[in-house]
Amino acid sequence: MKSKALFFAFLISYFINAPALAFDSVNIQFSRPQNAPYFVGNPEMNIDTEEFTTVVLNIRSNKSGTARLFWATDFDPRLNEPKSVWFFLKKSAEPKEYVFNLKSQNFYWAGFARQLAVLPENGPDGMEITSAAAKTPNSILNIRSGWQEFWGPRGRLVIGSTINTIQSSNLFGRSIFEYIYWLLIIFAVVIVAWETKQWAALKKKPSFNIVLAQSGRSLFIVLVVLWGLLEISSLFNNWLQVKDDWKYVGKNHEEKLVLANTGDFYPFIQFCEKNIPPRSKFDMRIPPIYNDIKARYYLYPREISTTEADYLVVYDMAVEPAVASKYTRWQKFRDQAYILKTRGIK
Amino acid sequence: MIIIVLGVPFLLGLFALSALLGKQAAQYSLWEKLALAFSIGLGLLAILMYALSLAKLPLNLPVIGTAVFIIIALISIYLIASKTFCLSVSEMKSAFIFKDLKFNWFESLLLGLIGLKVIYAFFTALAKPLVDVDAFLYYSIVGKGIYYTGNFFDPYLKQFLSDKPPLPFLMQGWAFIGLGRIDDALFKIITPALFLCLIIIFYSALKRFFLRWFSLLFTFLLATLPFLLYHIGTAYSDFPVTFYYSVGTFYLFLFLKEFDQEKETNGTFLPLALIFLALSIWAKKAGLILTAIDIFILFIFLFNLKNALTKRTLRSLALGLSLLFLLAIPVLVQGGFRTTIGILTSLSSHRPAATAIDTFQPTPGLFERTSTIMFTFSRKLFLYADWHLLWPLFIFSLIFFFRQAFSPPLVYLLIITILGLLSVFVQFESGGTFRWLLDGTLLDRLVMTTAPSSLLFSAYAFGFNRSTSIPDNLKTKPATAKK
Repeated sequence: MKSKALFFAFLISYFINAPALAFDSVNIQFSRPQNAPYFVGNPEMNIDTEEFTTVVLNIRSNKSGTARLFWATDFDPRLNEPKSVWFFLKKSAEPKEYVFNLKSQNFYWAGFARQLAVLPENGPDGMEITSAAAKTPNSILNIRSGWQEFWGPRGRLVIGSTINTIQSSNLFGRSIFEYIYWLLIIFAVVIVAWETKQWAALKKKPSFNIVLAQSGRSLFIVLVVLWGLLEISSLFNNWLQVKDDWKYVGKNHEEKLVLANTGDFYPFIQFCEKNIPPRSKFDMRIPPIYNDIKARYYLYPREISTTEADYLVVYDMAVEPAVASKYTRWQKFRDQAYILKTRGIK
Repeated sequence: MIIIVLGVPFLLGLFALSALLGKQAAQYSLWEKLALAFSIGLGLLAILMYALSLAKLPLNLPVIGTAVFIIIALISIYLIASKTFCLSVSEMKSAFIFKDLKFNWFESLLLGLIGLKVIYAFFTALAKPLVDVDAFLYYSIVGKGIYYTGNFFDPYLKQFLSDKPPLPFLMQGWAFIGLGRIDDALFKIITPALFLCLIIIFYSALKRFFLRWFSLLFTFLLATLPFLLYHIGTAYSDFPVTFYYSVGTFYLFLFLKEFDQEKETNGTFLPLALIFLALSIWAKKAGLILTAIDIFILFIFLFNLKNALTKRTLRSLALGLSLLFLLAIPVLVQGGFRTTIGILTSLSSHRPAATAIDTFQPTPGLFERTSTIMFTFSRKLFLYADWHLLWPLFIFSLIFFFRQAFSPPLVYLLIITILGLLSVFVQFESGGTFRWLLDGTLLDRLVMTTAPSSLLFSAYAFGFNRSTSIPDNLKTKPATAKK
């Protein structure tokens, strides 16, 4: 009897990760430095990432969006992109719990963690981190972390270069496809074994090709079911995209372009369109590598020219004195956003 | 105005298709003919715009409209004389009688999901204005230029054209001309319309031989490919080349399949295939290599069956090939030929291709490049969310349905797909494009061109397998294949 109880205790502790039975926890206070767009852990800490694999944040927010959790370690004391994870921030009047098993999600949760920071992409106003803790893992936290990770922004939102590739959703730091392939392999082995057994029992054996064909049919059903499950996940991504694009619905062309560009960039383009005649040549000082490309497109039929420009379009970028000397002030949109005109043009 | 953007190519295509199909039109379903009409018409319109521009005529609605009208009038004379048209009133009437269509729950579910994806494709393309870098940088600025100058060969636009084939530029230029204004959202209407055509044509290519639920299932798989769906909302050339190449390959396969079974071929699959392949050359540089692969396979096939070749087949082959070469000339002249030669020579000499502008670091050796490509290739095909389970399905079809997969006619489609995938290696092996592999910008977009064909391959492998005769004691369900 005693040995049975011991066995079950072992089994349970195995599944919920034995070291976690102590439920160790290090509380972390988050605060927002004045005018900073992020929250930082306070005071600086010294968390053994091998033991405390999981971070739990309780966040109250008056808006939904995405956010990133950063950390600094003794190996790399900077808060930077590689040492970060994305998550969806949900609007909630009461604090909502977010669980991150960072050890499984990111290779760089290593050594001693010195600092944590949270950066909400839509700004920190209306957001509060009510409590936070670094915890040792247990199965429930792991499951919650995995669920949050799978349905998180990775592979679902257009982040970076979706036009070139679409990342897969991860589960415990691995592509969801790795789990699917294991499932497929297991099913394939079981089905082929079963069909072979059936075939071996026949007195007059047909070609072994029949076994493969029969197995293929069953496996095809499994594959289509898994495809269907992936598609549910994809439909959720489509829904996120529709939600994001909904802001354009009912807007006219100009309003759409204002929304599709950041800050006052498109109003500045409209200002340029008004003040630079079509077919004239212009040069520009616009920070690369996106707005400069867009300006060239938006301002057409005005043509870009670095050698024969009549106008210089300047937007949040310094003009070299040698270049500036060729032009005179023409029209001002705001400080740092204006049009210069070649000396001599009326 | 959207009606003009879609309607003019559709009308042009409808008459051209009628002339091409002749009395064989009855072998195509109504929806298939409508999808073919729009997509062929769009390609022909781009060619027409190119020709008008060469003739120094301005590209605007009255000039293009008149040219289309003249072509339609000329085709009509032929159609009246031969008393054919690809659509009939009774056919159109019967297409809208839905009471006889009884879908079971599974078919209804699939139809609903496909419909959802099509609506999503239209929504994402039309709601949001242009946001993609290469579209600003190349395609759309030329499109806008065509609208303003009425000239595809405007000297200022040359810098954006580079050696890229003209179809995407002309397609976008036409959208602006048809709309009568610059609208960075609505001008993208053409790609979701092509997506709808792809869905219909893919379904039709299956429905000819398989049951409805089976055809719908694979069409659903096609409609849900995340990367393909994403590209419909962009104004890049990757979806147009995927569309034209895939449809060309579908009809080429249908030709091979019919011919292989020594049936009386309807004689229209091959010209259709070659027209679509020619248009893929017009869509993107990759189309040239992919079309060369398809033609190579076609010649191997015909060489194997040279004794069975009839005059009719030879005639349609000659017609189709002449059309293809004629259509390919402008693209070859514009730089496609030079680029291809550049890629091929750089393979052997390790020198960057002619189009390579710069390389940040010395190009690694052939072995190192091949191993990097293999690694990136396998990761991108299997561990990213671009393709759902398309490539495992492809491999799985090779293993479990190997008898069908490696037998004619399916083996030809298999070789086309594999060579298509390998052509990605050829392109990346050249020094100039290797860096596009390293920064992850090009591989998936090149792979996309072969994705629909590989799905068609899996569908046929599975579909043929369903008709394999098996002993009663191992039989589970009746065979699916119609014949």
